Amino acid sequence: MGAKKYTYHIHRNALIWLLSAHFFSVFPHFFRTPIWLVSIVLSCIAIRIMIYRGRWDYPNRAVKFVLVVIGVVAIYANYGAVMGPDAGVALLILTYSLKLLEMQKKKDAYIIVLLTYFVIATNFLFNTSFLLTIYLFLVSILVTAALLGMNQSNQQKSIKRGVKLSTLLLLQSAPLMMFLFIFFPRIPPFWVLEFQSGAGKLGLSDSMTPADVAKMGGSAQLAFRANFKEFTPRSQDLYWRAMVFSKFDGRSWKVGKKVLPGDKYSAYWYGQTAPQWINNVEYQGRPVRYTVIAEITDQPYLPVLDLPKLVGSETGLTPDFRMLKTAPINAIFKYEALSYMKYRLNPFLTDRMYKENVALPEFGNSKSREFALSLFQKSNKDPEQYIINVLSHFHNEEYSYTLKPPRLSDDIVDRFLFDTRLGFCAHYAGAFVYLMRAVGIPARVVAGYHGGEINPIGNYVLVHQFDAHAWSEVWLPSKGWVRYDPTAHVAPERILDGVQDLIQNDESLGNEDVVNAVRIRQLPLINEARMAFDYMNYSWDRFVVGYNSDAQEGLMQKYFNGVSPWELVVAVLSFSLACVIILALVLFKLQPGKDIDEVERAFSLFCIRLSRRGVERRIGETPNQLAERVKLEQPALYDSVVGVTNLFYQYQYARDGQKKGGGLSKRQLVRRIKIQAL
Amino acid sequence: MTSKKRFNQFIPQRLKTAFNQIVERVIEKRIPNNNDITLSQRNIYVLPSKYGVIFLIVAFALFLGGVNYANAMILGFSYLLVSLFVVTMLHTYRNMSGLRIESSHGHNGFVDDDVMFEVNLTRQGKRTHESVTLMWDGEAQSTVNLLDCKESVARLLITVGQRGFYKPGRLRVETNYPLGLFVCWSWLRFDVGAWVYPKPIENKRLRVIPSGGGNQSLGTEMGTDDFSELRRYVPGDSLKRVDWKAYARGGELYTKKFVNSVDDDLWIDWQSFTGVEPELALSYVCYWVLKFSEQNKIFGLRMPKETIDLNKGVDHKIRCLVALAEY
Repeated sequence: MGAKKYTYHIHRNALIWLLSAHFFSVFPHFFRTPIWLVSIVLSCIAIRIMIYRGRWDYPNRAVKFVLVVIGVVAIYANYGAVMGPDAGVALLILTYSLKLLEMQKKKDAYIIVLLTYFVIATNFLFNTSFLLTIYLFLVSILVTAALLGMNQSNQQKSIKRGVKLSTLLLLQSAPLMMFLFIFFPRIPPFWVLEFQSGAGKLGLSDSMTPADVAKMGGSAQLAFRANFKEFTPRSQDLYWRAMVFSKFDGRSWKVGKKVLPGDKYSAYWYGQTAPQWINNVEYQGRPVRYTVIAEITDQPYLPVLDLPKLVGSETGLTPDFRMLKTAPINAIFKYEALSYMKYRLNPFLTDRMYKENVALPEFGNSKSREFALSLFQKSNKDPEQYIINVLSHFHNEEYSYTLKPPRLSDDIVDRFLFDTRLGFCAHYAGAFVYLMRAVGIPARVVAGYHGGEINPIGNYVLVHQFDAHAWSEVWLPSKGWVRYDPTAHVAPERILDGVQDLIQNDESLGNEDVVNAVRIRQLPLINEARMAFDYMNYSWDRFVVGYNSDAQEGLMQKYFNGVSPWELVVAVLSFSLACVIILALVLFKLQPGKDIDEVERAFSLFCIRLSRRGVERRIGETPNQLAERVKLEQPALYDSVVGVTNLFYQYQYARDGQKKGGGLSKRQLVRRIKIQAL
Repeated sequence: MTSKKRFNQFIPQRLKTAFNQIVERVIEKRIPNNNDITLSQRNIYVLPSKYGVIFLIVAFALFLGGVNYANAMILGFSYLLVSLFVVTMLHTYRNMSGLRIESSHGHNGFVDDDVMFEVNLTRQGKRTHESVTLMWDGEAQSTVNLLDCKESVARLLITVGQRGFYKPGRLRVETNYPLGLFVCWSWLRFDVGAWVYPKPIENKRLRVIPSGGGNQSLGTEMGTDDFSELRRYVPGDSLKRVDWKAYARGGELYTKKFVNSVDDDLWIDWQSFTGVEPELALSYVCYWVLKFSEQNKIFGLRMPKETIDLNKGVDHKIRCLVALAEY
């Protein structure tokens, strides 16, 4: 080979830690990124190992350039962009891994270490669970061990030492970190960074066919958790309002008026002046206070109990009293809510609202229309009587409820009401509203969730996707919008006992995922474990992940009588200083270091004795040199000195690999040196 | 040298040692011994290194990300990095504090060759010191680890371009253990120096001046080659040269005398190099000094300012070389 450039040779231990940290920090991302990116990461790690072992050489600039270009193009092709969380993270991972192929200088190694910290943090954009946090803390230990390996003595052989020291450093950093987490002022975002978390979860959308709702019913994913402050309503009364559909086009139900985030007229946002229509509601009775922790949906819909009142920041109310978040939910979102179970909504309807809520497509479902008109006739054109009759019809006739409804086509209402007579709650609600509108009674479909599972540990409610539900609201003069739930008349168990019990009794009703989930719940130990595990996650989400500026303010109010941000900053700085001082004291006074080797100490004492006899050991003088000098200056002492230096050398060389001091134990060596007469 | 040795032989050993010790103590009291320094907060400085600053920037970037994505965990992680930064500062400082540094002496060397200085580092107490780097005048570098052992000697080699007495500038002791985020350093000044001899250059210009032959009685052996005679023992003669067999036989002490096989005494004369530029001349002289010493010949040095008598041995060589360095 030609002239060698200076290459930084990273210590073997440091490289091991660095590559491990590399792999483990990227690993959680593998579930989100395309396969080719995974293979690039693994290849880069493998190539770097080969380079270390001397088999391969670092690629030259041309090769690196080509790789980067290919990578960027591939990312663009896959994500359609190079900015934004998804593409951005992929790009970061790409450059991070390719950097492994360019580690010739010390600064390259440092750059990789710093990038590792960054990559670790990006994992939190997509998942903030307790387990992942623990996992990433451990990965932090690995990368800190790599940094340590780059700066420690070259003679260090032990791999474990890096991890031990690194753990120690991070544990010592933990108290200050926790303090900062709790007390450092939480600043609201400078500019709102919205992104799709890409979690790809099921959820509500502003246009749904009954089949869509049914799809939710087939999933065992967690939708949200809620805990109540004063009293918990009965499970059967928990109607979680999320969507209100007032447009029907023959196939799907659509939201009446689209709400644009931040738009003042389509919604009433917290902190703004209340619009006129907020006065259309009359809250009655005692309110229910609760906190909801919503999972990631990438939608802005916030489930709340009928009927909500606006109380929390980042939320807004629509004219049909749904609650929205100012931006799509791309991270675990905790919100406070207040609802009145008794209320009077819109006692008076405007013309426009009336027209909107009786509108039906011009053609189709003629059989249903005829049926409606004749039944209305029979009910003496009294709306409330008519409603009772319709519900009785559902109850008395052979209608069945299922979580796996058959697909309907053409005149879906006709098909459902007269042919299949088998459907999900959305079918019943949709058909019910259709029948109402057919005779001119304003009605709309309300969708969301119903009920929930109570976790006895922590006393909170878990609502899953299979708790998805649809019901209806009918407008009656001077009563306003009144809730009617047709499913209650077809499958009351669904309402009274909940979906899980329903499936438990008749597994044919549910699809595979739900059935399996319900089955697991029936195993006592496993169920208890599940509940405990969920409680842990719930507490984590609620108190740590959900610790936002509101929560911090609340804490300050509660314990510190309200503290201004400036006072907070001062407190943070002083505590940090105190932390540093305490740590300094611990490190400098209390922490044990390494004892000077006993044999060395014995030899030092021997040298002191020797100095009293006239021969002072010079700085930097080896024992052999000392012995020689003694031979010249004090020949009489020579034999004793030689004896001791021999023992000393025995011990020294034995320490580096062979057996201990020629058969003598350390203690014996020390003794011999001590008793050696001069 | 000669007179001192004559005087010394009359004083018993113990008294000599005691006297030396008293002198040492007096000297120590008068002159501050700054060749022995223990690092403490008075002379240690700590600052973030280049990578430490970048580390903080990464932490700050994560902080911004956490704020803008309203992600408590990213915020927490940035706090962890900041805390780690602070904790590391203490560890790096601790790695230097308490370290005892002494410099004993320097070893003479030649121009454009290595001059070596020895620096001794000692642990005080239980604290360990790892990856401590010593640098003199920015170049000579040595990294020391004091983990198991109590003390360690660092040997720093400096290349000096000019002959004469060389005193190195400040010694920089620094470390960035454990994480390389901070640089902890100290400046120390030691009162040590070394002679830098002129670089020897081969030449054939020497004019050998025979001095007139004969042995010079200096009271010590002149040569080691050929046995020339037995002489009566004179106090001061080396006991190694005494003919013990003769003593065993007769009770008389005789000293064996040897002589070098070379007849002429060699004088390296400055005059041989007239017309040559002084520095070059010194280099030429140096070459001859080394050559004769290597051949173990008796030689003398005649310089304009001093004359060094005919002699041989290591001490003599050094005396000549120092004379050249001093010129």
